[in-house]
Amino acid sequence: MSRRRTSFYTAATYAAGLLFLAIFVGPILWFIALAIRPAETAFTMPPSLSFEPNLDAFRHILVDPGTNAPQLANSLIVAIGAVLLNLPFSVPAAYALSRFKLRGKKNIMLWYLGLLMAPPIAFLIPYFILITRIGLQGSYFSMVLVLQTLTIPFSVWLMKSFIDEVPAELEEAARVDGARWYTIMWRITLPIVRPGIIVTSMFAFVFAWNNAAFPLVLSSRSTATLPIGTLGYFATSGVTWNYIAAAAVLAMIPPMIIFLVFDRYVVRGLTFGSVKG
Amino acid sequence: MASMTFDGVGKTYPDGTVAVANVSFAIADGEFVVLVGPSGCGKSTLLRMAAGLETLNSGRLLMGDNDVTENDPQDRDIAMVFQNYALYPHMTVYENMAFGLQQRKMPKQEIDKLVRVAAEMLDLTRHLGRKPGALSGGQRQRVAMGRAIVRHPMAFLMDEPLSNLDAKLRVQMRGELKLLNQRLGVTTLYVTHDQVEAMTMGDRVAVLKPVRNGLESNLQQLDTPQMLYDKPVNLFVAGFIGSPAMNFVRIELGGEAGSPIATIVGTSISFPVSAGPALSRCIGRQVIAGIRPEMFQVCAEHEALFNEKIPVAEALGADTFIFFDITSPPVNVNDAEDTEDFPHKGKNRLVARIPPALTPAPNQRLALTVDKEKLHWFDPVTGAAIRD
Repeated sequence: MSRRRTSFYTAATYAAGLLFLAIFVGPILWFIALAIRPAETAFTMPPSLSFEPNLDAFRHILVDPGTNAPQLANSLIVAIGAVLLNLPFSVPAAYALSRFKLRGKKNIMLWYLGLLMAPPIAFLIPYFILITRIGLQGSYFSMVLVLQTLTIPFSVWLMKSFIDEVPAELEEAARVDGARWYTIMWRITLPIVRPGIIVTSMFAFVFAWNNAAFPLVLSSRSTATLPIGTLGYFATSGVTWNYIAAAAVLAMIPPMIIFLVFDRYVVRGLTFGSVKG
Repeated sequence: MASMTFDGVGKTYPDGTVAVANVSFAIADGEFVVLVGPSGCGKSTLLRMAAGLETLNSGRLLMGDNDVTENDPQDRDIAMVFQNYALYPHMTVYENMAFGLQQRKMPKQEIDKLVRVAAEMLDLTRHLGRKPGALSGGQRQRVAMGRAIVRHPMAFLMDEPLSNLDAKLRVQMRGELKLLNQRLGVTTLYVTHDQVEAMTMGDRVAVLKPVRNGLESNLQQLDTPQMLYDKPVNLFVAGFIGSPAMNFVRIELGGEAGSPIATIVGTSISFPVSAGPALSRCIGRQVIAGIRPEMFQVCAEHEALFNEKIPVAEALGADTFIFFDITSPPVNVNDAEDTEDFPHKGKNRLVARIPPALTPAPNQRLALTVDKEKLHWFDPVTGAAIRD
């Protein structure tokens, strides 16, 4: 009796797990299937799972006319650029907000939060005008620059919480050892919060990578990023779903690789700290 | 190396809390001074002031003849050992010790030489390549010490450096630290809440007390351990120094000048005392008598001052401590530790040290007398010692 009940619960648990998996992973698998199945079978009713897989869609978007190959590179340039521009500003800002007695510290933090909460759409037109006026329209730098309005507030918040965790005693010890604040930041605090910097960079990368709104108005044909390129397949002559699916699958890969590689830092980032006695 | 002088030092926090007030004392060159007191007595604040990590609201701080009150920690040439050691977790033991020297732009070979000498002295040579996370508590403590001594600073500041060690290691490190200080001869200011540590390590010990306003002073008495024990200046010092703590009983002082009679308030116990001029002036008033646990003697019943049931006896091997109650109001040694925890209101619990052979069975009566010549006398209003 009890054994049958146990096996029933086990089965139910697995069933629930499978249902969850189907809900979360199903669409992704479906999209991958969409990318590798012949275009004409995309919407057959009832949906058929038997098809000859091929990489035509990938070949088309990457190699043949190759529209997505530069767009993939563009996305990487913009996202990496956003990370590189982000760190030198957000890390010192977070350090200062964490360590120094600043007037209006709380207000600054709230202002950052406000920037994060505001819908980017609201900034699109002003940014477009601003960037056009200074003649940067269509450049990579314009996108990298404007993306900072998203990445810096987030990074400052995240980095500040990491720096807050470093015991003040460590910095006091360094001061007594004769170090100035910049030496302390460079040689003591930053190396200790390295996991935090990596985690912050990951999030900044993903924010920039996923962003479609800013490149939509700021990029030119030659600097368009992957999301923008994908939009191009919603053409007037029809929607080429298999190309869209292939581009979407491609767009998923870099963030996934990043999270796989740096996964351990996310965990370590939450548990790091100084040596306690 | 240099002397260190606190001159009327005070610190009030923006919310009005007075942490430190009117503290003045000097530490001689090479001297080992311990700051001791209950929590909130300002001992750590004073140490952090000496380090430059805490600003002063009033007074001056001198190192040698230089006024360093406004100097940053970087410019004071002091070394500090923190309670949690504050080792840099991402650096090896070697790098931890070399960091301070690198800040002073010392050539690499010289740094290497100094680090290795210090490591040798502290038996850390084998661990130079390891990171603090891989060391035991005692080893971390030694690295923290090494980081301090490698710099040959003008003074050491130590903030409860042994409090994170287990009891056995603490006793061992206590001896090693003291030896190290004697060998290096560096002026040392040492903070602890442990009076045994204070007594065993300090050339002189400063007993501190929390202050309520800016008119009092934290500093109660700065003296050699023996003087603190033998001649405490007030009730607070008397109650703080010594373990178990000194017993206090309220006394009605009667009789005539020259031959006063002391009666323990609330009891019929009375005895003659020999009084000098200072105590004689208190005849007709209440005073407080302080009795160290070792001042009790087991005696015959007809000689006994106390003949009480002994509910609790703690046999420690070399000594036995016995506890008993007398029906006399307890004395509050304002803010001194432990006094609030007395279980019996209206009863005064006393502790006596007796030879272990005389340890009574539970609830047995024991006749005790007191060496009356050695009694400490205090004014109940001011708490000050009554002494000629």
